[in-house]
Amino acid sequence: MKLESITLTNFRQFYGDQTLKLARDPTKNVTVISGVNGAGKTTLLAALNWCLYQENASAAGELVNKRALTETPVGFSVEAKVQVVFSHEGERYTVVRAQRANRISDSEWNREQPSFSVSRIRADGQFETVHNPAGAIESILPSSVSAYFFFDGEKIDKFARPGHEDEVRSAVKQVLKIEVLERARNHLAAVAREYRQELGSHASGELNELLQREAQLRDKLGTNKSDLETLRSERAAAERQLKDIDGRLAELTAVRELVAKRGQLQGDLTAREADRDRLWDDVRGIVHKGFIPLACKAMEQAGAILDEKRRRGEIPPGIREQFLQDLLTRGRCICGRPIGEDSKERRALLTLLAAAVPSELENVVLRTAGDLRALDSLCRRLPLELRDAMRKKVAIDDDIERLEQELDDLSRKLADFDQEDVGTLERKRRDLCDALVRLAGEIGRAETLISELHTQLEAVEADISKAQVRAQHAKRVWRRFTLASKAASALDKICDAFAADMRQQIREEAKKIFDTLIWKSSQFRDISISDDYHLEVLDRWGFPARPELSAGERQVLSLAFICGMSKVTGEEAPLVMDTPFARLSTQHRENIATQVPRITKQLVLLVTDEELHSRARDNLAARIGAEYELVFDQSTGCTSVRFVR
Amino acid sequence: MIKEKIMGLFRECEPAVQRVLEKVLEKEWAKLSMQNPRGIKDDIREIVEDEARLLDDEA
Repeated sequence: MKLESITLTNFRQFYGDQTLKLARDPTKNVTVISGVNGAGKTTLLAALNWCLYQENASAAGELVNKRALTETPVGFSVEAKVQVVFSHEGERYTVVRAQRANRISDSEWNREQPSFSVSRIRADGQFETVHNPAGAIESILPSSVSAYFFFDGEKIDKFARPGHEDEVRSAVKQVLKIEVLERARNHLAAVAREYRQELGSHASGELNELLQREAQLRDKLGTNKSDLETLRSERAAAERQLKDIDGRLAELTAVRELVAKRGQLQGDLTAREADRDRLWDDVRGIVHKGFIPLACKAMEQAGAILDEKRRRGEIPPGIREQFLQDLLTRGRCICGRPIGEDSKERRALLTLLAAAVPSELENVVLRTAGDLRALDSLCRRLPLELRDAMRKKVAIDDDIERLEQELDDLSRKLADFDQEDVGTLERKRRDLCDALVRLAGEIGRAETLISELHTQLEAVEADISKAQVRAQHAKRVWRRFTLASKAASALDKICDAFAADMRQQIREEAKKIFDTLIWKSSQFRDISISDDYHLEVLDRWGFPARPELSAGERQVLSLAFICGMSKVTGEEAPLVMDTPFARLSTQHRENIATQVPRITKQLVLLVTDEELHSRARDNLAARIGAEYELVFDQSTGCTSVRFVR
Repeated sequence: MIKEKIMGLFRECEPAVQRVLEKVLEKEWAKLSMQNPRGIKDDIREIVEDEARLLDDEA
């Protein structure tokens, strides 16, 4: 930023338009604005800050020039305005802030909210209005940083005062934009935390656990299938042996009849068992409809309501909607008589049509009535069907019990048969039958277990699929978490290293500048800025000397610090100093007048007539590009700007 | 000048991290004047997402 001009219009003691064009030539970069106490030097600095940052200039009193206020007739308005023109990176900015006061009576003025606008002429010559004026100014020279460039010289010694480490820290962070790094680091760390939380919802070992579980289930399934195969083989072997025994028994003449009888009983038993199974299926079917009788009463009531509506002729309606529509469309009755457009017949038909139930609803009602009748019949039939089935079951169970008893008796007879072969075979047969019963149980249990394992396996496989999707998602989230974390860590390291490096550079620059400004430079060995931003100056013996510095020396140290920061950052901001020399001795004034114009790109000095004289002025003379005097007129109570050179 | 200095600090980071940092700092820079810039975290998350998507594709 390089200031070109400041124009004050009716701003506080500045009456009318007062313009100061500031020196910008690199070799003549100093503007001297002199004035006695109360002439308006501090007001000029306040005007600059008010225009650019709306700093509270009105706290010091009325913004609008009082002479202009009183000269404004009732019903008219007057404006206090500050216009600052500056150039920055090849573009020319015009910043205007104004406050209008409307005179509403002899002694009353209504003040409007200040207006603010920024326009610029771009490097390509195009003029444009800046839509975010405050943002634009902030991006060029942030308000927090401006305090280190536009300041009251008498107050800058704060950097060098004990207990003002926070001021130093804040200055370094703001000017060096360390805040950008810190904010970015904090925001990236916050984003990384969000990703970490997301990761927490995808348990890391979940997929492995599920895969292990799946493997276990598959092993178990394999073992059980193998066991089942063994059992089935055993059963097949037992069945073959049984068949063999039955064959051999059938060959024995003595027991052939008994064996044949057993074959018949066995056939009957198998048939009755099949009957029992079928009957159980029927019973299950009846039981599944068991809820219907519970709704019997409600269905009866619904049926009664529909019957009543039918009885009253409401359902279905006497005349169908479609029939009425057809008559109206044809315009002729079924008897052939015409139905005129505005006839009473047509009106009657329209009345009937309005009362008619839509045909679709009519169909639904008819269907519902039919369904209710069918359900009512089912309601009455179900208990009878269930009772009948249970009666059949009792009969079948009796038959089965009888057949089993007969078979058992027959088997005992055969086992006790005199002929040794028969007894042996029959006992062996009974063992085989017992084994088959046992095997049937074991096979049934094994089959159930395998079925359950399949169900479990399917569930685990489904969970694995979901976990795989989640794992993929987790991988993606992990990638994002890592990226954000790495960036935050990099900033963390960079932030501290950068701050340390900048501190060191500022220290070196400040030391160089301090040496050129301080008149007893041989008494000071070094300047240091500690990790906690403690600004210190060491005396020739290496002892901390800051507490012993005079007010003027502290001011010089602070100025050296500010100039050091400015040099390190390369910030192209002008240095605007109000009463910079008031507390300084001659030697310091001369040194500052010589050195500071060389260090900074643009210097604006607001000085009293006493501050800048003799050698200090001589030292500065070659650098002065513009000089003004603020002249206070006691007769008007206003200040005007006088161009000196 | 200080901006270039800061941007130059990340040259040794891996490319994806470097790109994230450059974009994040540009965003922060633009909103430095605001005390509590609204939505900055969402913007940064989006920057991370965009870079991570490129890594997803590479993977």
